[in-house]
Amino acid sequence: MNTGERTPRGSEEVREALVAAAARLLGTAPPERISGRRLADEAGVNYGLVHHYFGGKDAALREGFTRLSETYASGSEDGSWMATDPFSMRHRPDFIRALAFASLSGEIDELHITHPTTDAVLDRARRGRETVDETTIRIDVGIATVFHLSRCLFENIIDPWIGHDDPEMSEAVEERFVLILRALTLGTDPGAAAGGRREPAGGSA
Amino acid sequence: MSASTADPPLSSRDALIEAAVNLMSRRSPSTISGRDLATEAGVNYGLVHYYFESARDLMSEARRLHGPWIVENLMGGGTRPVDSESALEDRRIFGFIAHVALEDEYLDPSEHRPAMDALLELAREADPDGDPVHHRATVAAVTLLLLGWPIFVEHNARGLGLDPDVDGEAIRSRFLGVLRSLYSSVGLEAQG
Repeated sequence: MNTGERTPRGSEEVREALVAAAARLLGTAPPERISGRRLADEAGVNYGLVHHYFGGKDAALREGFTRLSETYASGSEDGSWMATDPFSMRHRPDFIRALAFASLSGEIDELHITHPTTDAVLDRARRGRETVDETTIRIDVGIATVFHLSRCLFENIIDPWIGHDDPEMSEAVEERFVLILRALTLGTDPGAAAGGRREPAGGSA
Repeated sequence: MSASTADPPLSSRDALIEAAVNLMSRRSPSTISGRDLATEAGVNYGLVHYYFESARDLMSEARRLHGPWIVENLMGGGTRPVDSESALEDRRIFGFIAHVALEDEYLDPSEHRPAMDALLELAREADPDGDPVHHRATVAAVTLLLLGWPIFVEHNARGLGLDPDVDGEAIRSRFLGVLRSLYSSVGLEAQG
């Protein structure tokens, strides 16, 4: 409950407070466990206003998700990272947690989540090769995205293992991860990338 | 698992561990009570506190046993790589590890990762003169891809304009091809 702040007033402020509250709560619990009442409490507004402005908590949560994904897509405010950087999701643990919770609860389709950077990555994947059909390109981008998401979601499990007995190992493996991510996106050999082979820029399969 | 008065005490303990794995693969540990665990295991609630200090203690034990369980059941006791096809079928593994990753208090960063250690050992044996960075990157990448697979089938596919009902087989075979490529680069053969 945001007791320390002024109570939001007026339709714009109330809507904004609810969307911001939804975006915050989605990173802490699966969508089905976020009640309309909790949302109202977090926003510091009356419970009835959730229904008044959104017709129910689901629409408010969807907008919260859109907010998370749009702010991720626009990158960092100070320009230190862009969404199209390799493993850029690690800069947004709130978004990755929200995706994980929604995915685990099986509600991901109901939320109509789309990845705002998908089109940019697809374009890059298409430019990188010549004669492959569109479905294969989409599948490859999907697999690359799995690697990206998984690498960020499981960072606290995987990273201590990677650098367990050798701190320099972490850096070396991270470089290979970037090569693997690129190979997955372009549909080239991920095993060779793990071994250190670099694809030429825009190189084809 | 159902309650049975004929169960010797040890199997009640095992039933509680199994119940913890089942529940933790579906829900965050912080939302699971001792009573939930007893109900899922089909044992008396008092046994939770007979065998464990708390529900939390029981779930930590389940987490500790999860890695060895994977080695035993999916890696033939550490003699072969994780079977890709069965790993793709078993959503419990992803759900369990994802929930642990999401709740830091159930995570022990210094703890061993028995399944990853076993896979790394296999890579070293199969490719004794290979590059240690290559071995470690490959093991980590295979692990991440297997863990991330449920995210793909349930989320990414539609977001990318693919239909799991139509493209499911193509997605699956492309994904298995990626795993095969990673495994074979360190001299290992993926099962299935």
